Amino acid sequence: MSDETEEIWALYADDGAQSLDAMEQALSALLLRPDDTSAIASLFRAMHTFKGNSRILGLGTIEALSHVAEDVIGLVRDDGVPFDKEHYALLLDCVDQLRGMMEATLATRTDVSTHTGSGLAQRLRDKLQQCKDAPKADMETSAAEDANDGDAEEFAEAVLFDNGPAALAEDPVYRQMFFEMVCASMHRLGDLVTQHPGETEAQMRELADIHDAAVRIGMADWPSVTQNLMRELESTRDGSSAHASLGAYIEAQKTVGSAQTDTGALVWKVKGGDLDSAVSVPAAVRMLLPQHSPESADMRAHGEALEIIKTWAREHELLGIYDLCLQAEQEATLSDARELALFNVADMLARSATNIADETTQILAQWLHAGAYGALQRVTELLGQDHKEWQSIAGYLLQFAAACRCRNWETAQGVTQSLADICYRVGDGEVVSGPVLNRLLASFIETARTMLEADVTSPGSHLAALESLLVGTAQTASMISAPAAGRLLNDVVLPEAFARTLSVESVERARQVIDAQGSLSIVRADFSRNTACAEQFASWIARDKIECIGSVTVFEGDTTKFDFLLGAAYPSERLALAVEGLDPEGLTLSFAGEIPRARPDAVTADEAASISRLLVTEIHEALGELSVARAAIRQTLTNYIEADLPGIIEGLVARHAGDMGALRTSISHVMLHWQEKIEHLMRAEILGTGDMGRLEEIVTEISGGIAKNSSIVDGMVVQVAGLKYIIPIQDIEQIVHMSGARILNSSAEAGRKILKLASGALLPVFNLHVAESGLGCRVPGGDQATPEEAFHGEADEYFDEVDRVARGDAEQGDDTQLFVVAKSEKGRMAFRVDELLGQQSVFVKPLQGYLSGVRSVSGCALLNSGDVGMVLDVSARSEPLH
Amino acid sequence: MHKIMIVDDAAMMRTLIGNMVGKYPEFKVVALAENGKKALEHLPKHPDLRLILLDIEMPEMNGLEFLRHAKMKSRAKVVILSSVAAAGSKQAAEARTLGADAIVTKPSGSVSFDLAEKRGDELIRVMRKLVGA
Repeated sequence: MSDETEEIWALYADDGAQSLDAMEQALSALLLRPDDTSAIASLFRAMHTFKGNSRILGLGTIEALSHVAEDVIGLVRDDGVPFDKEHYALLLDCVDQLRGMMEATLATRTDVSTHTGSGLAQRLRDKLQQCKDAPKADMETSAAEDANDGDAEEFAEAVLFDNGPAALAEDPVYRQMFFEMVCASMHRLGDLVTQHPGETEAQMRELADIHDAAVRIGMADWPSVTQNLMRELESTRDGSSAHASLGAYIEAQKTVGSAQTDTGALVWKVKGGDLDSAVSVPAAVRMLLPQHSPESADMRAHGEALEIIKTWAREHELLGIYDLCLQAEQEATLSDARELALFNVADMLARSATNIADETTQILAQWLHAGAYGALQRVTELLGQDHKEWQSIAGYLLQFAAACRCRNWETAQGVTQSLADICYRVGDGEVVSGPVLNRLLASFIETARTMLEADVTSPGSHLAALESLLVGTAQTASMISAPAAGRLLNDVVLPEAFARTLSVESVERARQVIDAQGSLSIVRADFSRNTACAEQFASWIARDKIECIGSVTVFEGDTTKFDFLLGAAYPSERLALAVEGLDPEGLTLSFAGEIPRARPDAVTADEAASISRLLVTEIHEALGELSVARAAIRQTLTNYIEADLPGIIEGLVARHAGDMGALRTSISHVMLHWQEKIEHLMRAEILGTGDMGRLEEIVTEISGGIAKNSSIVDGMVVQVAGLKYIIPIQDIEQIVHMSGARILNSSAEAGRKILKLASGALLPVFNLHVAESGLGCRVPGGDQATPEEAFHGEADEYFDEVDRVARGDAEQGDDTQLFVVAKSEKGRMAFRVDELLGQQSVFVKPLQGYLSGVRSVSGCALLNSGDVGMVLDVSARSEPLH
Repeated sequence: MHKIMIVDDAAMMRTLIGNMVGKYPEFKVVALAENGKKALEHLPKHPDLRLILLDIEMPEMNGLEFLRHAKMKSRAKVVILSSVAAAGSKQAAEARTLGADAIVTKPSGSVSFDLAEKRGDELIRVMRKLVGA
């Protein structure tokens, strides 16, 4: 073993011991104070470090145990699950177990047996599930309470700032009024200073009036200016200086022009040199933000503002901010890069925790309230370009995320940030973009715009629903964009042990090798027998024509072996011969198999899925256009409805004064014209709605049709015995409760249960808890029961319950059972479910390998909750009821 | 030669990454820190730092909190090197907001050293891109 390897093992031992000690300390603290957040954070970090280090060394069993423990701790740390005594006992056991496993591993330099700690791991998983199920209601209450605390106050303040004074200051009428008032005060102040120099109270009142007016209408820099003048007057008791300063300030503004008040203010301050950075830097920030000065003046104003910020940053030794200003200056023209750099300067100053942060934050919030639409619009424009600037798209998305932060839209903020991250990765070449990502981004923008509009028309309402739409979009975007998608979509079917442990990059490399060479090989090695042969093998795989993609530990009885996944520049048969050459007796090395390219038809299926997705994208775009057209119709209708009909009639009356006959005819014409127009538009609107409905049906059908070839499917997520299933929406006919319907035994169908609907229809009942393959079985009788036993045990339990209900001896309120009634070409059927979890679009991954034979399931999908759900293939389930 | 700081609470990881990066002559590891607080103390000592390789989960001061301060105080580009910053994740999203210049998943895999090398290729590619090498 090399020195470097030894060093890594030594560090693993050292780090591991420290982490385990830290876990024990944290647990001791938590035993005394279960709400000690620093202790739970420390516990989480230690477990996370231990897990990561174990993963690095390929210690899968240790990693798996620490992973589930980390998840349990994570729920306490992040989701408000209370730390209880069971947590303490379980995690203490876990620390002991991990310590033992680490010692065993250090002695042998190999992973422990996969059975080690399996009982404890199961207890941790049970605890995890229990915690996930239990605290939701409490958490929601808690979250609501949190939202009612500081954040709500901050939000209210931001809204007040935005909708109140700022809006008035931007109105030229108010600005004019303000300046007239300032000029009048200036004259009165001059008179007071000249005629009654000792009456500083009256002078102070003049300044206070200006100050109050400036605050009320939100004049950018005036409040700070007047405040300084009042301080000056208070200290000197001489109004002449304040009068002169006020005059100079007004002159400075006149020179620069009223449209550039902020620039004038700044120049005045810089020249005067008597105002501190707390005033001048925020003023400079205001100048950086685009809509505050006309485009022609932007560059000059930006230059001045950046100079001031650079000076301030240099004085405060904030080199990062200084460099960001330089970066903005280097963008010589008005470009996305420049605009985003300017925004970043402002954003960083707002987060700087210095004396200018609060005011800068307010300025930024004010700008972001108005700028959110602009950011979305720019994203739309950039997405429409042939050569997409993903870095700029990501930058504007982060701008919108900041706008969400100002509105306290936490979910939307998080989702937008996640999308920005994905776009950055596309820009870096780490993630490949495609039509689906583009479409999802477009959907995201539509929803985000709707949120902004809803916020204006009916603040607060529908926000939760709209935000949940965003979550669905982002989840799907993550799935199709993340590197893990390579694992989902590629056509390499790796053995489970490799699929579970290989990194995404290794899977990608495996796919590349298999594309180039047609296959991969697995070589099994038992190095305990022959050290010389192990060295030969190591030397052999280090050669150019062999590539080791990864390895896993294999336990055969008491013997630890390794499976190596190898790619070679020649066929597998030749590689097998080479292995035989290294170890002719096959005691140390043996060729364990070949991994060929997946079934040829899988490639065709992928291609078909790709085409179908493109088609769906096209239809979605058509739907978007129809939607726009419908909105235009509605707008026209609104215009007609809001038109000044009384005014028109009054005009006619005036024109036909005295001629009642002519007046009646004219009015009649007008009314008929309006009626026809409205009816015409209404018909168009109804037709459009019908067309859209039909188009949506087509999209749903297509989405369903490609379900087996990786697709996005709209489904109802249901839960049965803790497992989640997705039933395609297109297959669902209705959802009924047990009350109002009855379960019957069918003597003709060997005791099959039948649901009798209120309409009299009889449907076969399927229990999702038991699938033909045993997939998803949770066995009441214990882990050793076969799928058949599981079926009977489960079925007996279930139907005993049904019989009790049918006899009427169930407790009041417990007699409601939920059924999803589905239809297929072959007939209708009912699925009993425990709970409906809601509708969502999911990205379906086809089942592969052994699981591809399962008839009732068309694939699996990652749900918004992070769980994996099985997508039901209703047509495969269906059996006609005779 | 571009100066680098590695910030990770696991000594093993600091060594592994340091060894990996140290093999490239254009980079030189000039500082190691086990948490964000210690890393912040290093910043004034190394005004010419070009890159910071930063873990997220750390005691005392985590990577995101450090990032918040470091992006203001230092010219160095920051590469998040963490196993919890997968594409679109909450941590990755927050890191982007705070100005992370790149995000790379931590070296991991079943056979450590071989795969670490392969993961390292991407890290080196990102580092070279950020310093314009």
